[in-house]
Amino acid sequence: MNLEIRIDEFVREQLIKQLKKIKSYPVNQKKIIHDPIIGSNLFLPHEISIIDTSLIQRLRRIHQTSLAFFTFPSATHTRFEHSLGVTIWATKIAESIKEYNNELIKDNFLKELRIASLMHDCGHSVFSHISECLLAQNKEFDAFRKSNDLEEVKPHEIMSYLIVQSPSFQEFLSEIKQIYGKQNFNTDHLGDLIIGRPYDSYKKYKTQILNGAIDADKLDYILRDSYSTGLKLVLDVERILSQISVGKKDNGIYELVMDLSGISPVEQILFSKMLLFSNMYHHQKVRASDCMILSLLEIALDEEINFSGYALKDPVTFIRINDNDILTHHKKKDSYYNTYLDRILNRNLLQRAVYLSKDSIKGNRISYKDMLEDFSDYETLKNARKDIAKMIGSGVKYYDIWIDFPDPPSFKEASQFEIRTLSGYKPFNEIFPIDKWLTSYNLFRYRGHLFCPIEIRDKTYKSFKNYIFEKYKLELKPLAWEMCKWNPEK
Amino acid sequence: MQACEEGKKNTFYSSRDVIGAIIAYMKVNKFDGSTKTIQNVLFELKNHEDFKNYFDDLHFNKFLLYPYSKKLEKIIFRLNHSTVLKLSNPEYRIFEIDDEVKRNLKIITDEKFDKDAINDIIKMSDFFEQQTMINKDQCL
Repeated sequence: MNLEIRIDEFVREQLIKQLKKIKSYPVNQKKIIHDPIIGSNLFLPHEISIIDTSLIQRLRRIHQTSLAFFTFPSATHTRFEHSLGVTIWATKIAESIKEYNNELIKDNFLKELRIASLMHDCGHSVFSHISECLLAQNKEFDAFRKSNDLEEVKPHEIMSYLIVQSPSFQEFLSEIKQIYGKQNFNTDHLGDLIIGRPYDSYKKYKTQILNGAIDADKLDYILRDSYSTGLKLVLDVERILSQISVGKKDNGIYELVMDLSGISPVEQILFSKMLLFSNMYHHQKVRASDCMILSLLEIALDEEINFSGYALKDPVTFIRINDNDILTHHKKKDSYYNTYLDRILNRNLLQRAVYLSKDSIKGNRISYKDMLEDFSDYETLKNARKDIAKMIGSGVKYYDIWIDFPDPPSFKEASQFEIRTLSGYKPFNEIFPIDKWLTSYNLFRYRGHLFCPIEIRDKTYKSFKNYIFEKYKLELKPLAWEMCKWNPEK
Repeated sequence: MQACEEGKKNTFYSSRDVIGAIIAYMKVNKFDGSTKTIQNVLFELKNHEDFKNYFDDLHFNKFLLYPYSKKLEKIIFRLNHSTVLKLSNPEYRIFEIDDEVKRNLKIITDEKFDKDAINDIIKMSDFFEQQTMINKDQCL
């Protein structure tokens, strides 16, 4: 049975109870949902019926920023509140455009945009982006991605796309129409809005509100992640909303643009993104926790662990399970999964053995570049981790070794978003090359780490040192361990 | 070595190696570092009948203002972070490569690619060079 059919079966299972419920007891009034960042917000009865499905409720059990709460204790927010937030921001952007030109936003579109926003993250799996790495490695998923020309679309977006495109979801929306007397919702539109593919090639702004260079998703995650971690960032959303509009290009295409006086808030978005990456997403403890979650999932795959009867080798399992399934699953006592899980639950995190940057490594810069590339490729890295574990010996498993070079942040917003000037539309970075400036800062801040359990730090250090010398002729400078606050060469 | 020889037509080259090779064979040491220019040039090369085999693992989002590949952005970032390519100050618009680094990159390239592939690399390199040429204003 192919992937789309299996996803349809899963969607049917998820919707069956809710369908029965709303047929007998439809939601009879609008609801106000309070949000600490955006305030009180109105959701319509048919939207509440969608929010109440297991497809969306499941997101309450998927942390937005993985195990970042081990480092930033209040970062316990989930994909659920983020999805509501994105819906609210998407509406606010659409309303700003409507104020600028009433014709550009029709009521039918706004309703579809809100449903697409609610559903945009329903394809996320455990601990959000962490599990995406393993989903991307799945052969069946990869084949589907390639055959549908979706290689540039994030794995969770593809899963959300498949969910809203499934016949069962389509039927559910038809019932919604029957019960609440709403319009026909076009699931092709919903899918395209989620993956950022314009279904109306002349009205690209419609897609860009939800999935574009500066979009509702970005506004929400920047505000929500900074609020939840306590990191103080400045983002003048009111100004963004007042300056954002739609521009008609010479080729007749309508795109989301910002007025010239909206440059400052665009700068704020880019600076905030950079600071979130350097202070939070790439914080060494956050990365160590992320690596441990990936290890736990690797163990589950290797030990062929089933979660409620479903194996991780099936891509559909990724949208069945949530963080709780992973953190409460206990196998028989002597399994490595249990040992590893206990470490995570007790915040016994992997420690830094080596700090990796161009300043802490001695050798040929091309070799350093090759090492960076190799360790950024999941399969190559996995083999390196296995080799190093073997070099350490004493039964050390590769799950305990991580050489982590996180994906650098992209600042494509600067060149993919245009500003309206007197002489026409110009990409933001042609007015001020902020992307290069930010990349330059990021080049300085960017680093990788060798992580391992503290008990084997000495041996791991030595094995890694030999490994990179043998393979890349690279050596470690004192900075490599000084930054980790220890001295293995004593 | 990333390439896996199965006869020329089925040879798989990693785009990271191909991009390194293109830079190694450039006759100049400076080129336009604009994201838009680099992404556009590589998109054109990938879609060129003669060169498409070299970029099997490079994919572009065609629905943005210009074609955009996340993987290409990362490849450029790593070339930049490792200082194989340097961003010139204070404008941050121009990439530079030292003669010595270019020589070393060329040695590696010659080991990785066969003769036919090197000929293609030279053609791609010429095209890349033309498209990323720096104009006088940028040199100021």
